[in-house]
Amino acid sequence: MVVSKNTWFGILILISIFLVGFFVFSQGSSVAQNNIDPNKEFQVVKLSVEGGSYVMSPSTLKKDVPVRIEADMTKMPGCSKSIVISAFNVRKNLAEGANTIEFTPNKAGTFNIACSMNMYKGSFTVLEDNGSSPVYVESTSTTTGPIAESSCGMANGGGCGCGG
Amino acid sequence: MSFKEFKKELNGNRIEGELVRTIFYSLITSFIILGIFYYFRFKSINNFIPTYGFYLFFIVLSYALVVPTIRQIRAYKKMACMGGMMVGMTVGMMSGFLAGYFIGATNGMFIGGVFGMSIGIFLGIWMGSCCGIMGIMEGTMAGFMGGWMGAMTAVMLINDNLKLASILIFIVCAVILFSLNYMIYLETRKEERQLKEDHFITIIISLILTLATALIMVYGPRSALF
Repeated sequence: MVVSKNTWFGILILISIFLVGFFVFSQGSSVAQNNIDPNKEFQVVKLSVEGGSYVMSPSTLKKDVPVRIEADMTKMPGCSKSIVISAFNVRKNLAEGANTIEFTPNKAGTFNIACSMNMYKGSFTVLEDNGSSPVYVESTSTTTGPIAESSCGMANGGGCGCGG
Repeated sequence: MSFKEFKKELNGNRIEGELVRTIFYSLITSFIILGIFYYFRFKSINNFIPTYGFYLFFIVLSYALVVPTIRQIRAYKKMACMGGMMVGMTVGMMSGFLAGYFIGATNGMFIGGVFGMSIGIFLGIWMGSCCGIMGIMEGTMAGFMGGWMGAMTAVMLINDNLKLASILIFIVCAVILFSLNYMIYLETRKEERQLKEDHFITIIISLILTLATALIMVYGPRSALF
C-alpha cells in the first residue's frame, strides 16, 4: 500500500498537536487563591445572592475601617461572581478559593454593589465618623434614589439575561 | 459525488492538494515562534502555561485552519459575486470571532473586541476582494461583528464553562472553515489555478497572527476585572 505525502503531513499534524497539547494540559490550570493578611483588623461582611439581589450581612459599615467581604459561593450564580463596587474602585472575579474582597470604605454614604453586567444589584451603607446615618446616596443608571430594594429583573418575574 | 471528488483532490495536484501541507506549515511556524518566545520571555512569567497556555494552543489551531483557506482563495484570485461574498463573510466572521474570543477570555471585552474586529475586518476585506466591492463590504461587516461577538461570548462565559465552550466553538468553526474549502472547490473546480506560490505567505501570516495574539494576550491592556 502506498501512503500519500499528505497522509504523512496529516500524521505529523496530529503528532505536533498531541505533543504541544500534552505539554500545555500537563501543566494544569491556574487556581485562584485568597490573599489574606491574618494580622489585619477587618469588618467581616458575608455576601450572597437572594432573589436576584446581593445581600450583605451586615450591610452597615464603619468608615475608614478595612472591610473583608466573604462571598458564599454556593449562593452566587452566573455573573454575580463578577463584583463591581465602583465607588471604591473594587472590581473582582470571585471563584472557589478566591471568594474574598478587601477594601477600605473611606467615605460615608449609601453605595451600590453590582455585577459587572449591572444585572445583580445591592447596596450597603458606610456610617459617618460619629456613627450617624449618612446623607449621601449613590445613584444608579437604572434606578433613582436609594437602591436598597433594587433587584435583578428575574426576581420580579422578568428575565435576568446574564446567565444567572 | 462531488464530496468524494473533493476528498480525492485533497491528495491531488490542485491547490486543494496543498491544504493539509499548509495546515502543517502554519502549525509548525506558530509552535516554533511560541516555543522561542516561551523559552526566552514567557517562561519567567508566573503561572504562564496555566493562565495562557490553553487559549494560545487553541488560537494557534484556529489560525492553522484560516491560513489554508487564504491560500486556496489566493490561488484562484477572482470568484463569482455570490461565492466571493460567502468567502469574505466566512473568513471575516470566523477569524474575527476566534481572535476576539481567545483575547476576550484573557484580556476582557474591549481589547478582545478591538483585536478580533481588526483581524476579522483585515482578513475579511482581503479575502472578500476576490469578488469586488460586495465581497469587501461583506468581509468588513462580518469581521466587525465577529470580533465583538467573540469577545462578548468569552466574557459572558467566564463564570460558566469557558474552556469547554472554547473547545466546542473551535470544533464548530473548524467544520465551517472546512465547509468553506469545499465550497471554494465546488465554485472553482472547472477553473485553472491563477497563482502558484510557495509557502512564504503561509509562514508570514501565521507568524504575524501568532505573535500579535501572544504579545497582546500577555502584555496587552486588560479590562478592570482581569
